Amino acid sequence: MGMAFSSLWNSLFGQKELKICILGLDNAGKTTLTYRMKLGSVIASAPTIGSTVEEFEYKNLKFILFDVGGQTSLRASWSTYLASTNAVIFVIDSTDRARTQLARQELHRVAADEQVSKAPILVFANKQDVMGSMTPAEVSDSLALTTLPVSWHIQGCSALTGKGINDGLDWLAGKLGASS
Amino acid sequence: MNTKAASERHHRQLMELVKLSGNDTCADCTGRNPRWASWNLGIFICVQCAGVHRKMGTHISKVKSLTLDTWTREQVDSIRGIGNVKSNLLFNPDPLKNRPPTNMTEEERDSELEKFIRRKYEFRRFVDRAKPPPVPLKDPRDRIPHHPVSPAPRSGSRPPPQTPSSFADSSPLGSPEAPRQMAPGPPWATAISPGVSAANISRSQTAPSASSSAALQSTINDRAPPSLPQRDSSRPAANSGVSLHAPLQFQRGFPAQQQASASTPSNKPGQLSNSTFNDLISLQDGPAQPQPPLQMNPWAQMHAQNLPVASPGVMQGASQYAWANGSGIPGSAKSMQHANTYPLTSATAGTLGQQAFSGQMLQTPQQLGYPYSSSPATATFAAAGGGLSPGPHTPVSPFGMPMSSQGCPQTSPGNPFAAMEARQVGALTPNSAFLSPFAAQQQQQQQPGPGQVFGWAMQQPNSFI
Repeated sequence: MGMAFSSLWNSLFGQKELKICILGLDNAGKTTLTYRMKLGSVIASAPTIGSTVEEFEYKNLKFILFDVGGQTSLRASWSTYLASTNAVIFVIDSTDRARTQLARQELHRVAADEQVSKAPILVFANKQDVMGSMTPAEVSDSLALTTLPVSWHIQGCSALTGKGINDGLDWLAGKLGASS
Repeated sequence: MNTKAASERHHRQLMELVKLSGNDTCADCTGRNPRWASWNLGIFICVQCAGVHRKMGTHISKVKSLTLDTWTREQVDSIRGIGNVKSNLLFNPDPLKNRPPTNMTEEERDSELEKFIRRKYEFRRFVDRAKPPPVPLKDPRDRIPHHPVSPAPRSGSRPPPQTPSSFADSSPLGSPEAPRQMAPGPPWATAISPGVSAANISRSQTAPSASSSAALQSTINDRAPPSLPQRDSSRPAANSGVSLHAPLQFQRGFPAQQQASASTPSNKPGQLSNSTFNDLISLQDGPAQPQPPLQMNPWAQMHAQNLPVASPGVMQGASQYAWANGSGIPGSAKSMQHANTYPLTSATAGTLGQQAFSGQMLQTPQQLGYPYSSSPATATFAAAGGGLSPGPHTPVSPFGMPMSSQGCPQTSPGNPFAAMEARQVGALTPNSAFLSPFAAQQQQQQQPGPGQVFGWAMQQPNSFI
């Protein structure tokens, strides 16, 4: 009886709130991805100035998504968003080969932040729907993911079609659900 | 190089530029006080239009914020060289006919604005194709050194693959572009005379010599058609600029790429020189003016220019270079990449099903062929196994590119579609049905399950679980 009550309680109120920062260079698709996760649809987005916060639930987890703008001067403020974050979603524009090195620098800078030392990083290789986009393998290579000091996962996805997003979130949910 | 002082200087320059008449309103919706810009299109735009520009992709428009981003000198120069007025003269010469959407609800306006901007830049519907477009740059050669990635070492050691007859057989001077070669141009632009031996060509390509180029140029002058189109005197800058586009370079380029890009004439949005210059040129052989594919193709020319000694083996390098250079995605490279890499992400998912490879089977390094092997990690591959495991460290998939680079030179240069078909059939026989992005999308939609299609995971042993 106690067990049953406990499980009922958990199912009702057992949601864990998890703070997740969505980072990435400008025009990587962070906002589109955020709203794809939250609403399941594509919205017309304009460049994010500052940040937006959205909540959504996934597999009994409550994600609080901090979608931070990716322009150069906004990147300096990323570290302020990283405080007590549970996970980082780093979004890559797989079509933007010119800036993979820049993305690599930024990703490694985030990963080196001691506030994320225990947070897993989910890398979304976004825009896989675009012809000629880099494969997740290429993205992984160019980002030198293997040298990251934290737990990571790369997932090809398309925020426009929704493809691949749940797969990445499954990994994230597994990591975060298991972590406590 | 990119010091704080420099970025502040660039910011000041931008702020002055945006005050200029024409730049003080959004290039697309004419909203006031734009705070964003597309530096490769050279225009100042508002934040809504910036959203649409970003949506089109960086191969069409590279958007930056005037206030939130740091700018490089090249980017500031690019936008200074064009500006809203020049850009709209090209992309929307008749603004009364093609107006931006107004007076709608916000939601309607968003989608209408996107349609408008896509028509304007992506499909170039408004471009007046009757007259030669203005060329905004003083000299494209100024821009080439701005790109540190140089293909020269890659191509330098390769022998010229084509026989002289393959150069001479064609008649490049029939092109209306021919007179533009008269302007002093780089030596490769002059090595275009039919009948020039391969040795001459390769020498003038690799070792620019004033005398040889002068001699060759005189040959060109002799062979130039008598009636030259008069250039508009209001566009003096075009002369030296277009001189780079010598028709023979198209002959000398990569046949498949020429054909690929010629067969997709509307799909040439890349800007190798970070500017609309190439776009402007490419418009001349746009859909409204069909030409033989080898006559005028800026993309192939770009490759020829960057890879003076063209060889089939260089093709892979050429398209990689086009990517690696990254300032744009030339249409030819794009279509090749499409044929080669894209199906490996989505189409292999279709053929292989949603196989999730757990890490144990992939622990051996030789199976992976990937840096994972050097790390102590156990990899969990949840990926389209065929697409990723055979060698993800190669930038271009092992399936597609080698096949295509062999197949392309053998195809007839007269048929722009032959190479494409050859590539598709040769490289991707089992998956050719998925070459269509729509097919791939359907495939994606049919498989919404939890299986991971293109992605893989790695768990560090010391991860915190």
